[in-house]
Amino acid sequence: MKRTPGKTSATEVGDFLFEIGCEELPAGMIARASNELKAILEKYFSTNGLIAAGNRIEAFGGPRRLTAIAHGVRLRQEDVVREVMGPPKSVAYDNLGEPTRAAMSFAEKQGIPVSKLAIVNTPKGEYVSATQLIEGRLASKVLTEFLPQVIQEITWPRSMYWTGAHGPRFIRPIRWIVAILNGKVVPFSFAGVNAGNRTDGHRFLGKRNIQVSGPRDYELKLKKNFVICRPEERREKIETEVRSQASRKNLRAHEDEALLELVTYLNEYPTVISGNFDSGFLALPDEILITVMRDHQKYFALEARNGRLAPNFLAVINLNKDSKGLVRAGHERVLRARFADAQFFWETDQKCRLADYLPKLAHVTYERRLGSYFDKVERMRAIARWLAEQWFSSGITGGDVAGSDRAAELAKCDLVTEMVKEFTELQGIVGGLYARAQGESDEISWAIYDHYKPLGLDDPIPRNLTGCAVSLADKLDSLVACFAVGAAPTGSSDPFALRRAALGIVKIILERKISISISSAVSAAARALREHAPKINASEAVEKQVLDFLLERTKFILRERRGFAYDEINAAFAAGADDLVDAAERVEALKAIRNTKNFAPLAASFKRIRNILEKSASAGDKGQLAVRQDLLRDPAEQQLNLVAHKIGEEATRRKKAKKYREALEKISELRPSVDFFFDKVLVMAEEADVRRNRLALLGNLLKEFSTIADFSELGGDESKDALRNPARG
Amino acid sequence: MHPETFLRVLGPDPYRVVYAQPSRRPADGRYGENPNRLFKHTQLQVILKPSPPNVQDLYLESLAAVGINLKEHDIKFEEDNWEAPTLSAWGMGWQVMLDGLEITQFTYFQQCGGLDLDPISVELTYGLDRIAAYLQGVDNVFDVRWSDTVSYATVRLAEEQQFSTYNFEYADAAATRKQFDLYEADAARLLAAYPAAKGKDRLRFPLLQAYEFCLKCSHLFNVLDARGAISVTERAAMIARVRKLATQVAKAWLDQRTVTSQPELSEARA
Repeated sequence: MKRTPGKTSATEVGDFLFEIGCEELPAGMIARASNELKAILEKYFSTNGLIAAGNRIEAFGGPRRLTAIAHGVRLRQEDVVREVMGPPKSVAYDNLGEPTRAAMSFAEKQGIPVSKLAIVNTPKGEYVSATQLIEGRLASKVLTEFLPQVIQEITWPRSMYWTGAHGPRFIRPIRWIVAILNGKVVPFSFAGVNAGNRTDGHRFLGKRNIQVSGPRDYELKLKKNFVICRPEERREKIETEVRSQASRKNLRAHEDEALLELVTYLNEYPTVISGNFDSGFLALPDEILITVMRDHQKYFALEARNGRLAPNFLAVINLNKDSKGLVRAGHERVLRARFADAQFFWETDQKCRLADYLPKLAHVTYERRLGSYFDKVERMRAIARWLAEQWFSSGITGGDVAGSDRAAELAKCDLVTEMVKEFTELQGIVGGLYARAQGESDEISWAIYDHYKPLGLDDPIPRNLTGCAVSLADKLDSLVACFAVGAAPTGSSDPFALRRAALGIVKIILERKISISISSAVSAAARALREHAPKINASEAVEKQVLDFLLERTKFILRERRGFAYDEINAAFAAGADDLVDAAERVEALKAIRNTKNFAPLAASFKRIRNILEKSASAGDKGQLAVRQDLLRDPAEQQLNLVAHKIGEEATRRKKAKKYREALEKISELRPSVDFFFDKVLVMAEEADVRRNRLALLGNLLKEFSTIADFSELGGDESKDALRNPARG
Repeated sequence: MHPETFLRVLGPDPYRVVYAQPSRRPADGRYGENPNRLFKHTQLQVILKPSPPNVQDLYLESLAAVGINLKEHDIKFEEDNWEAPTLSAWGMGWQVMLDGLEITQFTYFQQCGGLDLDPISVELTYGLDRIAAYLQGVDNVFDVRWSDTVSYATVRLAEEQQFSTYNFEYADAAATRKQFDLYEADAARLLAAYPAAKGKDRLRFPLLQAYEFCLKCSHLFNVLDARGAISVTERAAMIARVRKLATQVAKAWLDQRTVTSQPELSEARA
């Protein structure tokens, strides 16, 4: 491709402004849609050669608009000269040098006269070629064609029709479009709307049909018309006003990143106002008050320095001021009614005890084949008791069998309370609050409160051991039971959130350092499923699947959250991973030592040993178990045998004390002997018995020193790790 | 869902209607003790078919018309998609918030009675009791002045108290189920008879009655639900039963639109 000289317009650039004006977009989708808009435009701009190097497109959004701005847009595509190779010269021209049919049809196809065909020399000989000049098109013409597709390519979780079943789909109706390149409108139409140069200001405070000429003009005029189009500016305005409103009352806002993000996208011109409520409502638990304020009213709760909730709130309104206090009075009135509702639920629910709700759980289906929540609770109890027994016998203190059983029994009762029916996000929490109000111990109340935790990798684990028992029991049951009836996650479908459950199990075990056999825990869940309704038999294959599922998540956490390398993890896991806590400790020791002077070369030698053994095995050298002293001829192999025994004993002693790092350091001391061995000894000796003996020596070495980690895995191929991202995969 | 909404949004013909509708939600009853929440509240229903491009402006003008100064209040359109699983109807739109209070459900209907809609209708459901309380500046909906001498409490409180009590405490699950079965059977009987009706008989066939039975089932289902008398599985099954009636009514209704009183013509179509 060559540039045609003499044309200058291809170097001229200009600014591009694009705005999709909509009826109110769902606040939670705007940020993502802006990012998509940016990526889609980048794709079209670059494939069409419309953006000069070093220029970027930015996109942002608000409740009623998605906006994209690009600087340095080429106003004309570059011309390109294209050379197309045709038939060989010998075919294209006859002996007299006259063009043949082949030449003529080639020229016709390329749209040029035969006389314009050229002959080029190639390594394969002389060929006919045609040169074409493809003129660059005006950017506005190209944009006119692709902008409708850009709008169409933005994806939404769900979309709607508004102009009828033959019209386009989008998340909400599009009512105006601005498309301006270098001051001129790019004409096109979408969903019956013509692109133009007019935008709308704030719905109530701004003007309509504001004429704009380009990106700068657009932002300035919108601001004058009470639209802050950049989310980061809206966010900062909210944050500043929240801080100042709160400190005016000597309070601070209950921190809430998600709420901040939401109100940033709910308002075109956010302003923070404060309001009060009757302090009598403070008798309700904070969790409930905050949920009502945050989830239902989108208010920031305020608290005193000591963390106590104050009878005040901050609301973010889509106006510049509330001079008459009408908005404040309105919000206060609504909150009063909401709190009255919560109080109604609180009092109604407490007319009976938490345990009285148990029979009602029999009417709540967990999964069609897996029975009701009542059945699930029975299974959870069995697993929780087993877990508590395990840590009793392994010396972990803090939770007991009876307490774990009781907490599991009550954990799901709140599902049928009025409060949770209304505020589903408070499941678990409400149960915990009711339990405490009804005189259950703190340990049990907190266990119920926390048992859905952790909800993600950044969510904390249950605060006490009983909570860990109930949470583990719940999640283990979900995994084993769902896998047993074939409801394992597939692709993006994971209706029972089993991936999250598995990550939760691993997170609890690793953080709380619960040294149990994970395979036994899975078996305990399988036993509960077999012995309690609906009495389903989970096969060994199912248990194995669940176990693999859990191990993949463990590797994921170690890799993505703890920063270990995949080969360190594989090496340690190859030496056993039934006790996840222990496996993690071995990974850590390995990471600490892998790059030390002696260890790294030793690991390489182990890899070599494994290759030798594998090769010889496939060549038919039968494995021999014991090393025969009499066949150790070379001093180097005698030394290796001797040193390996000595180091082996000492390493084992350290390993038994779980001093993995020291054990590995000891093992590193093998290096000189191993190096010496490989220097002096030819493993594949002519005589079969000597050869087999040497293979046995190496085989034993590999076996004995691979119980902390299989060093030969180090530096292995990353692609062997089938599941790179199990949290998403 | 009133027939003026459920049936009129079906098919191609433009239509516009507004009517006041008492709406009963057994689970929302609060014995008249909650200032905003009612077992039965009054909605103003608007259907605009097809949805006009300036429908949001028209809506906002209607608020201004009853005395709400749009520049002095915090009005937001917050995402809220509407769905009536028993009637296989859904749409996308918002709850309109006035100073944090939901005053209107604003929906672009996409499907009704299981049928894809074309054109798209917009439905505006104004919460009249709340708007009235708001305009009169009263905190409690029961303090709304119905007239100069009569309060909303005088008109409605007894109803709230008694129906809350009935729905939460007295509703008899077995009897309600029986009623459900009866209405369901009667609706099914009518729907089964419709295809055989020809000409004039088909034109005046009581599909509206079948739909009314279907609505009764929907309400009885809500009563059972409020009473906590149905399990999740039974719940899904009952929803499916009502939905079956609703989708059949929708299909038959569309068919009936094409019937003329000349028997030979409708014979030919059938």
